[in-house]
Amino acid sequence: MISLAKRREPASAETATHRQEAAQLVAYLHECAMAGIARRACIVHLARLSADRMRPHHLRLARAALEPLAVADRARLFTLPNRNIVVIWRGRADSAVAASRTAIEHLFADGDEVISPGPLWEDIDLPAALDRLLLVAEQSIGPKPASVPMPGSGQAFDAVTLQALELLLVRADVARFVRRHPVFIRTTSGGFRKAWERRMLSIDELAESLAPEHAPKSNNWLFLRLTRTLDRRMLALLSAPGELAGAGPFAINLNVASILSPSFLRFDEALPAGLRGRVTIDLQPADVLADPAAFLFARDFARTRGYRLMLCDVCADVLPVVPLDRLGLDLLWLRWSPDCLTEAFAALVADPARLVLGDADTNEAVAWGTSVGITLFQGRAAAET
Amino acid sequence: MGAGVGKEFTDLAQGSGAPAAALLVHEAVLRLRRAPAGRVALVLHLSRLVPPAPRPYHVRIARALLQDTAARHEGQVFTLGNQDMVLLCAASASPGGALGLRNTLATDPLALPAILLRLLRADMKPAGALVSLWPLDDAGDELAAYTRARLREAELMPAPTQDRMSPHNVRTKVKAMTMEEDFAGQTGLACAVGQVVDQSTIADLLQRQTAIAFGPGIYPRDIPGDGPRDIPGDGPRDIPGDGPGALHPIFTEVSFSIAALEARLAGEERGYVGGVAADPFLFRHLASRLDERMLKELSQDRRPDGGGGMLDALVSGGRASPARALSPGESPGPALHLNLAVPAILSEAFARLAIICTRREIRVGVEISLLEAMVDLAAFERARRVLADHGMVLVLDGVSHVAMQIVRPWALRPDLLKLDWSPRLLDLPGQDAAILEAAIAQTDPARVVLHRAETEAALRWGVARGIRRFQGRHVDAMLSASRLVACAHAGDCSLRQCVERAASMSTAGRIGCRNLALLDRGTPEPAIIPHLGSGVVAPRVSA
Repeated sequence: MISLAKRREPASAETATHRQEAAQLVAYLHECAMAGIARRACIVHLARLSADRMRPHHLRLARAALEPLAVADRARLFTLPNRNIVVIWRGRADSAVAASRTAIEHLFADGDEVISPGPLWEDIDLPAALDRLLLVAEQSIGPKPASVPMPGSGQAFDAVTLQALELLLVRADVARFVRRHPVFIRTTSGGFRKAWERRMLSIDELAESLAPEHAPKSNNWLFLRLTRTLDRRMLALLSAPGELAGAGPFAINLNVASILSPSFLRFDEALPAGLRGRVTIDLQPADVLADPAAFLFARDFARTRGYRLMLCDVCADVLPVVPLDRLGLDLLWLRWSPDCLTEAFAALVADPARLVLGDADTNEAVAWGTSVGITLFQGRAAAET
Repeated sequence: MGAGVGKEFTDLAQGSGAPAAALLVHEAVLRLRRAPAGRVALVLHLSRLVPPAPRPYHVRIARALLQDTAARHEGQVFTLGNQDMVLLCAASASPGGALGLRNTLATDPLALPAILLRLLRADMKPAGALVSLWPLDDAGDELAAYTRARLREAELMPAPTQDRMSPHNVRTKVKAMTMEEDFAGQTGLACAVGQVVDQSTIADLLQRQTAIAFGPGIYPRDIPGDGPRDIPGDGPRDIPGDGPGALHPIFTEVSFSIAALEARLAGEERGYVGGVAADPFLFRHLASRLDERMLKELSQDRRPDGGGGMLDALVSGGRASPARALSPGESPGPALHLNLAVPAILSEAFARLAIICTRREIRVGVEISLLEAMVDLAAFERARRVLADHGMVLVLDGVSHVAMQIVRPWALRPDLLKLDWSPRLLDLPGQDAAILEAAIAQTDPARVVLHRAETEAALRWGVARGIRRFQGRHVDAMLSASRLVACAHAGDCSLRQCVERAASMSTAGRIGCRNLALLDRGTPEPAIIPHLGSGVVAPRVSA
């Protein structure tokens, strides 16, 4: 057992390295696509070989066979978890490509017979065949889990479970699941000052408490439906006498349908005069598109009543689809990720004064946000400064 | 919002039924006209909104805003049987009127019309004022005439909702309106409908509809730019009749039929699918369950050559390109388009279906709704690449003109984008129309399919904007008309029967047709619709 474990350890570490390389390849391809500069690439499909020709030394030899391509302009080599190898470079490198192809041809020749490298070697033009290469990279990583299951979860979250959970929520005390996440604004002295706090229900904790056998996030649609139920409870909580006495500016996450519900009218009536104009409503992109006409109505109604509106949970890949001005919203909460680091993405950040950089847990995130002109941050790095 | 001075009175008016409400407001107007100085009447004509508006939230929010003003201006709010609202109040705020109100925003009655117009502009008709503001001392006669007319209507129509609904639709619409507000009931209904979906024969819950293109260029591979990919079986060839008026079926979409599900539920008195559809998330959940079942059926190998069963039914009669050489001049049949959820595309069942379709040279397109794409964009991107790898066309479905104005769906890089037609497109305000036209130009009109094209006006609107691909009931009628012209058994059928049989996926739904090959092909080749550019696209389905 011990020896087996020892033998597996390096393989596992190697796979992890290759997964990292695959992720780097995906990021690099996105960068190439945004830059729009033509590149060439080749895929060496070692995964198509039989198991006896996919041993570690085969991989090392294949990499060596590709060395002629290293002289090509900006050449980069990626080894994927399924042992396929991708090389990307700029400009023409015909002689290097020919040399590498020949070397691969001979390397995997069957006995005296030289096999055709056709199935093993694939030429790619970028950005035209970007999708093909992205697919190869992602397939090598394997399927991504649809959602992160909750501890102890496992059973399907279906409409029957949702109905039961909705009934439970009618009477459940949800106050203990409320969490507050501050949003900070960068001050002129370089520090941070709290601008407002986002008040939200921790759905993971709530579901763990009320329906520990189920994972609501495993079903996108029923989960979104559940958030409407939670909106009602949250609004009822905030409408309770004295609940908002002395409160500072805050934000709540609501569905469009919830803004148009009687619960919101009751909350609006209970809102202390001092908070009027200092409350932000966070909306989800998918919810906005669920009923665009209702969204326009809700947006204008909320504005009439003095609320600010923020599109939240926007990832780097969503930003090009949801222009803030077209949506007519005040703020956008952008989730930090390394995907934000490209110059092309920075160019998409049209109005940084209206962005909140979320998940800013690292100095790198704050530095990037500051560099593009963002002044509002949510995350550990902002809080700790 | 604050409790209005006239709250009790207003509730009485609402609860007493439409004739009583009309009578109360009429009497109140007569009373106020004796001392009209400084009093105004604001009438919000919600009855003039474009259906399905006013929706319950329109009524609720509008009423709340009027109540707020009533509270500060010694006013009363009345809701009439036709859903119009009447606010009678003082023009200037009364200090006493605001007592007891903690935080309401002061809303001057003179400022209310602008606020209401801004809120309701998306659902307004182009003609007819939505808000009337009548000072009682100047315009008391107009107000009295208005309330008299409502009183007369109320006396003539004991069931107030019938003025906007045919008796046939009343029950369904009232039920749907109720369900839109019945939050808990919606989930219960989703459970019941889900059970019916699971227990039904899948073909009985599906429908099909063929989309067409005018003129040469029949599928995305013909579109210049970076998107088109080679579609198996769609090689270049000369197609007779590729003139400007030529009509080509390009794909047949198989989709979930709400009407069929309604029909199955009706006998069981479990409610209406409209109730589930009132919540977009529950509806998508239901649709995704159906997708899973359809995909499972389609991906089952039942014959040695692959496919079989439901897939055979979908591609029979040349609906999708058969695995045989096409004779010169013969065009491939329309491609098969499936509505699928993103997780279904990423599943093993889909990979199996893709292999079967490749082997049998069946051209397949996959339609993903914009909402589905937005709920998990990373998964959508993976699905897009899977489809591209299989040479399948990606269609972004369910894009309303409002969505087209507020987001950039073309940034999702679909091969085709289905823009939902709405009669509202004919009279969009200038700025909205300009935004929409710019959005179509950015998408590229060659990639747009005008969906739900129910009328000739829809086709004209699309053609004027460079759109050449259409799908909808008017297109169904055009295709049926071209079949009836060519069919030897046309004398046995009406246009409507031909339309309905073409839409049906079940054997029972096609009974009566004696030329199933032509029915499945969509149209004889080539179908020429004359005078498209300048004139009329003719056929209409008689009721």
